[in-house]
Formats: sequence, structure tokens, C-alpha cells
Amino acid sequence: MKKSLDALLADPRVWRGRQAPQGMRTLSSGYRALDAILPGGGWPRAGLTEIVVERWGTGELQMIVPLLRQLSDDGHDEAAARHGWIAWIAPPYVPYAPALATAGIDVARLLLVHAAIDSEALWAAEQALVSASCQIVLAWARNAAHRQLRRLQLAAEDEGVPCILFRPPDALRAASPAALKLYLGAGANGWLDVIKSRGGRPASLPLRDLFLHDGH
Amino acid sequence: MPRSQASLPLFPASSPVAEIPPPVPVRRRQLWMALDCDRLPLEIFAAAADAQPVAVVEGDGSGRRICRSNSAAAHQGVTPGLPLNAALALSPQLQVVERDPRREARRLRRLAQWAMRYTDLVSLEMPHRLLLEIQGSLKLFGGLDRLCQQICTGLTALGYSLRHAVAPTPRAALWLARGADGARVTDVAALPGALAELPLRCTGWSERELNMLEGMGVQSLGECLRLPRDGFARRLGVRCLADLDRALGRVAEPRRGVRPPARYRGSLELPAETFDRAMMGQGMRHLLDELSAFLRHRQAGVQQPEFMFRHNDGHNTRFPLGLAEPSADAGFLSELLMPHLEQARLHAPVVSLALRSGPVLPLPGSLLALGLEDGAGPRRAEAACRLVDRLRARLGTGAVRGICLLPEHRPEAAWDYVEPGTRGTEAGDRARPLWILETPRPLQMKHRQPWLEGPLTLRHGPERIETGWWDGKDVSRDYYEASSPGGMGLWIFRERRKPRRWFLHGVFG
Repeated sequence: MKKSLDALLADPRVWRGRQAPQGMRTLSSGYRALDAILPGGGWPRAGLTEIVVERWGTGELQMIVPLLRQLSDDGHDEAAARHGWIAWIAPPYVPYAPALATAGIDVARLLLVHAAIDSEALWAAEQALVSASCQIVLAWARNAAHRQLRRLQLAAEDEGVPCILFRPPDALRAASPAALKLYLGAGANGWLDVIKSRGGRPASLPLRDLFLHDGH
Repeated sequence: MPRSQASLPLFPASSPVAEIPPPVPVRRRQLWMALDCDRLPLEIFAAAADAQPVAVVEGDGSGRRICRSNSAAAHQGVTPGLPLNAALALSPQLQVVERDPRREARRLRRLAQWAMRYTDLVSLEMPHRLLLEIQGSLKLFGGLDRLCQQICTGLTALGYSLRHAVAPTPRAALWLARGADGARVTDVAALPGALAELPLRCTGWSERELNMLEGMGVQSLGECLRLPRDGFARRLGVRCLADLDRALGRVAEPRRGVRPPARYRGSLELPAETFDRAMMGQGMRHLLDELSAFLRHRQAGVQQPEFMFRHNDGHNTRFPLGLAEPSADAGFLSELLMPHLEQARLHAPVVSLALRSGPVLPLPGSLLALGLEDGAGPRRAEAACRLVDRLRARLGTGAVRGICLLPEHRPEAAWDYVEPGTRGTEAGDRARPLWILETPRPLQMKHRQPWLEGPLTLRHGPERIETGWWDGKDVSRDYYEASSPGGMGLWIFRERRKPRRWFLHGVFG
């Protein structure tokens, strides 16, 4: 009885008050300051992360570069068998290969998918998640119904793949089934808010602190 | 057959034909199965199986004669060789079809392809016979009897009637199939005895040659074999003698095998002109299964198959596929084609379906570029390719790409789109933005400052990039890292030549 209860409580989908769920698997963000405010000490290992970005190009990509680098050279642990695509679905610009390579990201694993409309982008993201061939799925979508987000969240959780969805500011107010939702504020003093997290607390972090204390 | 050989003037006494050639050194025992599809001219027509009398005719004008007739026609006395007029008199409702040798040849080739599942050496003997070298296949198919039975039942099931025989030489097998259906001779020494009883007509020699032999009182092959060699050669020519030598295995008869076609082309007539997508789906599955069998035989896959609807107005609707990696999996191909089929706008009813394999390629072992060699690797590599195919099937081929680095200083030329998974060798470049604009975008100028939602503040720079004079697309620019009032990190440059405009080229993200 106790055992099964533990198993139940260990399930990351079970929300337990203020405590971070036991055994919620995370991936270090590569930034000490960011890890400190993310529940479980990093990006969710499996599940949907929504990042609402006030203005493209204010650091949202910089924020996940260490994560992508880590996935790129995860050569020696159990993740080795999981090598696969780093999928970019409907990004607003073209990721610049020389910069990614300098950052230590394996460019050959990039899979760029162009989608004309949001519904196609979300469909492609879901396909990528359930294909068992992606290490991480990055997607950009302006409009996404709650139902579609939920499908992504479930697919990401079931397949054990992290999925990061970048959204424009209109998405800030909408309810989200994501495991983690962040807001990246623009301006001369950019900041990062944790809007929603399982078992975590709302938190805020000035971007200047984030990138200054680059842990790696 | 050219007649010139038969009319060669001289055969001197010392001619080698007088001697029985020394036995052919046995390199490898061979066993040939001859399949004689004598009724092929009739059986290529679907009406052949009808209860109505049908006959195939050949010849011109008044020389038109019955070539083959179905059983209903034969019952009424319409037999091969009968003049057409006489046949029509016997059977007024006789349906007459013109003989179509080209179609017969095509069909025979298809049968040869079919027979290649039993052996890799199948040879054509035009117009309607096949030779299969089966020595090497005996063990695999459970012995001679079972192999013969399997082949004969298979062909009968396809709707062909045939006669067959087995012999150690191809020529003897052909003759035996004509004269002694079902004969099986496995030993060269038994050949003269087995051939002795055959009527001369089995040899397929010309009327002139047969008449000459008949005039000499020769009725069977056995009597023919007893004639003196040099006399035989002088009267009938070396060709007939050579035929005898080949049949008995005294002279080797090399046979050229049919080569498997490089590509698959299949088509399927629908039972009726239709808009019914379910029916087309079934037909498509059938063709894909055929393609899959074709590919499995070659351990190969296709990357650019093309599926086609033929409409009743003569137009075709094409559905080309482009796969990331060769595949031979009918289920997967069908999954990719299905959405096309469902979304296709059909302007006219469809009469038939066609499938072309495109180039046939070796199946990939693994996708090395993804570093997936070990453990769960192959499966994952396959999954990786399937994701690409699935996305492309819906979004288009150009919508799914990879990128790579190129050895180039001009920022816009230092990368390119490639097939996903392509690994380059170049190293990265320092201090570059994470996002690039495919073409630099001119920036507004306000108050003599570059402007994007406000004045841009230059943070680092300039970095001078001057290169490319050799291909005419030379650049001479000063690059700066700048930030907008909104906090965007931008990569901008200013031309060093007039008009010295400012451009946005990247976003640090």
C-alpha cells in the first residue's frame, strides 16, 4: 500500500502543495541563477515548457543554448541511446549555424521545419514528440488552443521528451496545461518571471543577473 | 533463323562436323526446366476464358488463319491453322482477335520476372517459352517434384496453361516440353533414349528441313540421331546438327538470362470508372505490396516513388513522394500516400492506377550522421527518417531542412540549407548571433542613427568583413553588435562603400 502510494506521489503529474514533486527529473539550465528559480532545479526533462516572449531576440534563445549544448554532447550516460533530432519548428528567423556550432551545439542534428500556419506547426511538434527520434522539440506558435497545448504536454510527458514552446505576449493570460510557464520581459532591464510551475513558486529574475552569472 | 548457314556450300571431308565433338567439360551440373506457354497468344486476352468461342488470327488478307482458339471454339471445330473464312463458317458467333506479338513478348517477360523467384537464371525462348536453370534451387524448394509442382501450379493460378519438361540441357528440355509434357530427365546419359521417341516437329526446324527428313523416311529424333553426321550436315546444314549436339549436351548452349528490370512499374485497372477513394486506396495498397515484394527480392528501397491516377479523359494525376531515406515498407509508403489520395481533387473519374518505383537504391544500414550506431540506434535512425518523411508528406519537401556550416567568411555564405542529418566539417565562428536573416534587411535612418523601433545603441564593433571579390559578390562591411530600446540584441552592419547604408543581419536572441 505504502509502496503504491509512493509510486503515485512520485508521479510528476501529481501536484503536492508547495513541495516540488519528488523525483521530478530536470535538466540543468546551465545558469545557476535560473536553476535556482526553476522547480526541481532545471528544465523539465519531460513535458511542455511555455516561454512567453515579449519581444523576439531578447535572450530567449540564449537561455536555452546551454541546454541544447548539454543534449548535444550527452554522449556517455543513458541518454546516449536517445540521440536524435533537435527539432526547430516554425522559428521566427533562421538559426545561424556558425553561432550554434561555436556554442557547442551539434548542427547536424538540427531539423528545421517551416510551417505556414500555427495549426501545422503544432501538428509538426506533436509528430516530432511522438516520433521517438527527437531529443528536444522547440516550437514557435502565435495561436494555440488549450486542447492543442494539452496534446503537446501529454505527448512530451509520455515520450519523455522536453518540448519548449515560444509564445507571443498575447499568450500570457491564457490558462496553460504546460508543466512550466515563463515570461520573458523585454526592455533595457529585461526580466524573467516564473508564471506557473508544478510545485514551484512564482519567482522573478532580472536578465542581467541571469547572463552575468553564466555557470558554464 | 538466318538461312545463310543452312546453304553454306561446302563441308570438306575433314570438316569437324564429321566428328562427334568431345564431351563438354562439366563445369557445373545444370538442370533446365522448360515452360512452354503455347497458348499465350490467346491467353493474353481476357476474353480467352469466356464460354463464348474466341480465336486469335494471324496473317494478311485471304491468308488469315486461326492461330489459337479457346476451348469453346475448339469444340466447334475451330482449330489452329484453319483459314478464317472456314472458321467463321463453322462458328458464326466466333469472336476474332488479331494476334499481338508485342504484347505476347511483354507478357512473356513478365512471366520471366515472375519465374525469377525460383532461380536467378531465367532465359527467354521467343515467342512463348521460358527456360529456368533449377539445379541450384532444388534443395531450397524441396526437390525436383515439389519445385516443378510449385511452378506449374503458380502459373496455372495466374491463368496460363503450360507444358513443361526437365532435362540437363536447355535444348532437350524445350523439345521434351513440346513432345513429352511432364518429362523429367536428370542425367545426360539418359538423353538420347528420352529424345528418341520425340516427333521431329518438336525441334522447331523449318518446314523445308522437316519435309526433307520425311522424304528420307525419318520420323523421329531417334532415327535422326542414327544418320551419319557428315551426310546429315550436308543435307540439312550445320544448324540442325548443332541443335542435335546441343540437345545431347555434346556442345554447350550458353543461355542469356533475363535481367531483372532496374525499376518497378505497376499498374492496375479498376473494375469500373470511379470516384470511390476507398477502392483506389485498396488498389494502391495492392500496388505497394507488389512494389514491396519487388524491392525485398533486391534488398533495396525506393526514395522517389510516384503514384498516379489515370482519368477517363486521358489525363493523369501524379503524386510523387520524396523520402529522406530509401524504404521498402508498403505500410509506411501507404501511410505517406494516403493523405495525398484523400486530399486530391478529382476532376474526372479514375480508370486505372499506376505506381513507378523511381531509382531503386540499397537500403541504408544506419544514419551515421546522427551518431546512432549502437544499441537502439538503427530503430531510432529509422524513426528519425520517418519523422522527416511524415512532416514532408504534409508540409512539403522544402519545409523540412537541416543546416550546415560552409568555409566562408561572408556571414550569409557561411551556412546553407542541407538535407537533415548532413554532417559538415567546419568549425563555428566567434561572436555571431544565434538568428540570421536570410537576406540582410535595410535599416531606417533617423537623426543620422540606425533605427529599429527606436535608435540603436552600438555595443561592440566594428568587425570588418571584406571578402568575396573573386565571385563578384564581394562584400565590404563593418559589423556591430547593437541593442534596441526594447532590449533586442542585434547584429547590424554598415556598407563601407557608398551609399554606406545600414542593414540588420542577425538577432542575438
